[in-house]
Amino acid sequence: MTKKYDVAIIGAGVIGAGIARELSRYELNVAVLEKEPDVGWGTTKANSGIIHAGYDATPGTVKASFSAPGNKKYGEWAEPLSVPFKRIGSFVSTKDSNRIDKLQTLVEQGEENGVEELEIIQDREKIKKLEPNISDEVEAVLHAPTAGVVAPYKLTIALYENARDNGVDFFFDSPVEGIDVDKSPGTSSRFTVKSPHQEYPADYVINAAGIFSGKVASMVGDESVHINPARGEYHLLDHELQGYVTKINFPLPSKDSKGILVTPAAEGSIIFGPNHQPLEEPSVATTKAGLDEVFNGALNLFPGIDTSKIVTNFAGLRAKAQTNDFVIGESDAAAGFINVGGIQSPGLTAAPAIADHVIGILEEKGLSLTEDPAFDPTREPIPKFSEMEPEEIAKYTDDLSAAKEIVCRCEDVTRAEIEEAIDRGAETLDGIKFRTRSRMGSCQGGFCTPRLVEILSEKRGVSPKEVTKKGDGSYLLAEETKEVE
Amino acid sequence: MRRKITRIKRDIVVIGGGPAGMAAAIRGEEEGAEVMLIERDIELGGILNQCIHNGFGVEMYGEELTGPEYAERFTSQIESSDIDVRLNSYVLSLSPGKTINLLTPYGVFEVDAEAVVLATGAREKSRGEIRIPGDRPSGVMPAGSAQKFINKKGFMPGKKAFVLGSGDIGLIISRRLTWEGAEVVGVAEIMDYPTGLNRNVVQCLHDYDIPLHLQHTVTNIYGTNRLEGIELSRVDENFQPIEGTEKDIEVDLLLLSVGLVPENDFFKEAGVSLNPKTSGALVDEWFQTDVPGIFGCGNAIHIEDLVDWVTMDGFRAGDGAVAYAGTGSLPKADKKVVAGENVNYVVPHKVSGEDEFRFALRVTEPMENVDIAIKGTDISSFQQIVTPGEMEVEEVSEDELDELTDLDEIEVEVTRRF
Amino acid sequence: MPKKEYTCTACPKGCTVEVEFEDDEIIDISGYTCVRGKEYVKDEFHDPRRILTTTVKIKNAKYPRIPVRTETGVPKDKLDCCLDALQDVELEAPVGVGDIVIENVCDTEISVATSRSLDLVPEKDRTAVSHT
Repeated sequence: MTKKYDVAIIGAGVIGAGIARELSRYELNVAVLEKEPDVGWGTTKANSGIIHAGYDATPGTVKASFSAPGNKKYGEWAEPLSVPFKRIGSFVSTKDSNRIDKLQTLVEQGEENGVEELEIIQDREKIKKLEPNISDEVEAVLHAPTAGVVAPYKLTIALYENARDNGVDFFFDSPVEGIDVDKSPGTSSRFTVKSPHQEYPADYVINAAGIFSGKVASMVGDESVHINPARGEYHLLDHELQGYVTKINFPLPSKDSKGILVTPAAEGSIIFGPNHQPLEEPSVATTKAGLDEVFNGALNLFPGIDTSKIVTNFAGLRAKAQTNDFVIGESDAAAGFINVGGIQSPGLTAAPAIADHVIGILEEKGLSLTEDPAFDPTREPIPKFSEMEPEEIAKYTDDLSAAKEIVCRCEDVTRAEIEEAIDRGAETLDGIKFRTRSRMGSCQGGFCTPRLVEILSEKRGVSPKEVTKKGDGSYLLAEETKEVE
Repeated sequence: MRRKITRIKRDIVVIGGGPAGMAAAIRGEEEGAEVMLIERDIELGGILNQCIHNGFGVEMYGEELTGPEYAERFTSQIESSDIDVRLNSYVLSLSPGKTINLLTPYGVFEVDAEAVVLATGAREKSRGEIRIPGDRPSGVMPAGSAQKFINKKGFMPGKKAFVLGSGDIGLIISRRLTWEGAEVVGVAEIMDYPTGLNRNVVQCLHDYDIPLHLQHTVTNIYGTNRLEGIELSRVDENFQPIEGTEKDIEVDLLLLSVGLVPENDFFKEAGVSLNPKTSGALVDEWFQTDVPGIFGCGNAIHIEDLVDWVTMDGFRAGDGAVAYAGTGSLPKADKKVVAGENVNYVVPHKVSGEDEFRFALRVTEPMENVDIAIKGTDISSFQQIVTPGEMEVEEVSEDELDELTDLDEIEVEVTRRF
Repeated sequence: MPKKEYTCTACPKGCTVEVEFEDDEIIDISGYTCVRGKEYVKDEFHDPRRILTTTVKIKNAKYPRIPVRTETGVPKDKLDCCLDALQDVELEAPVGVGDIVIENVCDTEISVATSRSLDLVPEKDRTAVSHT
């Protein structure tokens, strides 16, 4: 018999997974439908990973109302979920002393948005003390100590695991193809969400489909959500440069350029990016011009950075609504259908506040929330070999023989970690990568990929030919050698 | 609860069981030292085991061996020796004082070494390092990964391939794919000459009519899930793609053979100075680094062409390690060796001038009829042709050492004779 | 008169050497810059040979394939035949290095031999086991 859901969430990015996790506090049946084989593979996986202080959103916008509150709530997510999150603080820097007033404007804007501890620093010595390798030409910075960095994919994986442990059903490889709305009184549920494999009856639907939220909204006749994707490209550097950059560094936007940021990522590497390219059709292909733009932009603030340590480059998509603001609220076209669209930057920052707000809307629209006494807010991370002391390693490896094989040697990831990632839901090489960092280091999988394919095929009981990088046709191996044709 | 970690002492610990490490370990043991040889793989031999083509051992044995055959000559010797071989074992840390934390299938050990030889080899450059833009599908991998899949695991990573890079790895994988029934539609090289051996160009490409696109590179990658095609462009003299020369090619496999980088993590950890040109450690004539008692050899120092040279360097490093482990020092190498005219780099970087030695160099560009010489001396040797793709190795004999006595710096230069 | 171009592999210079021929007879060789080049193209013209190095299947070893080689060069035009002959060969561990896989492959009077040894190992130590 088809299970009936109180709430069906479309999209398992940080927004969908975050709402699912917060809903799992209550005695509810919640389903999450995701078109990809894993969580967080849309906008979530490829962005700067920054938890903004909240001064940059124009006061009065929806964005502004969620930024600073979202930032304040981050510890409440990161801590029980054991997600790497560090309040390293941010700089907005200018090399032009005539533009210091622009920094002042940001301070005022921030204060209006509820951001605390903002300060402008003009003392070069102090600037250099906080950020030793920043360009000598920097005249002034806006320092926001509450800004932080998080690994967005790890956060989303943690939200997913915790939601799942607390009873939420996740369905992967399940693109939504249609939604039936039954408005007649007395029917058992208002919506039937349809994927190719299954139908999901639900009383409430949350549209957290990111880039595709306009398309999903139109399935219930709501044509008010228009998403214009905008690509942002990045370079990622080897973790060897850890410590070279200590804060989130934004240039002060000029009228010509929004500027390229340079920041340590939550897991240690340094990241440059993003540029801004509006697109007709969603694409995460990088371009030469874009990568050059990002590369040169980074050198503007950190002229001495060793760019030979770039290990990879990638692009992500901003789900930018036509209004250039978040679109959050019940649809006019269908009662009980809640849009959470247009979540571009600072969407990652806002995510905890958005989740709370959406639950408030659901309650207001008649969903009854009874706290589940069995709810457990904590989620244990996969033990990280690379962060252990020798004595800990001795115990860990004695107890767990799979920990004695280091599969990814750039990032020191053991077979035990890989196997646990698979046990927790990774079905692809990228799924393993986002959970363990294998293939994220300097060799980018050159050494460990053959072994990863073997482990994944053994654990899943499939042929190595069926192992994929990221699902759907992204196989690694075409055929066996000496295969009889 | 904390576990007690077993401590072990060895005269020489060699890290890496490829050709360089095997040679160093064998020499150390032959000279009476207690040697531990650490290898992370399930067997010794390193990358030789996946290099199943012939061409190894011409200098050492006067024979054309395959990689596995060459490796087996050493592994069989090691098996019958007293070398303490640790397979499936990982060095967790190496201190400048030569204490090694070692993870093995039998637990964690702390190994105190008198001398350490780092023979950690090299890794292949990745797509990100050379910044090829485009989609990020599966089907783009370093040539060495493909070689491992095909030769050791028995799987074909694709059926219609393009190879970027005309070094020997790129050339040999092209023939290998062809022999296994795949189609190789082309090889691109950013330089205006092939960077691999001429023999390989003929036997791996010409034999199978595989086109070699000189002064070309891959400028875009297509395919959301699996590779569907690439864009090939001609480059100008600054290696920048020339607009209007783009050509799309349909393939399901792109193999990258765009260079090797010494694995230098342990050198850095131990505080060893590196050569920015090679990314390998700075070494003297015994392959000792500037941290006393820490040696390095093989591709971890610089990328070599022939395994035979790697083996000979390994022996030399083994000699050095034995001497150091015995007496705690070696003759002071205080004469700097520097790259002069037309020389890209030279190894070693320092010599004592008291003992005969060999130096290896790469030139900056292809040249004909040249003298490879030490400036200010009569030490010189004529070569009809030199190219950056082929390492030149020269010896300074016992008799010639006198000529170096007054030099503080040994400048190696390559000059055209006419 | 028909001509054929060769790239000499005797040294890194890689001279382009041209052979003019009639039937199986060389009429003229040009373009070489040393005597080695001349010898090289003579061999390449009359009897081009290549060493074949590939793999065959093996059972009960740590890997599912074992490298093999022809002991010396086989005529270039016999390479395909040799590859076909090795397609269905399956060895069983243990094998030694230099064990003969096929004698007189494709009537070349040359043998194909293993180029490494592989021990018999228990099932748990066999990697990348075929699932097809």
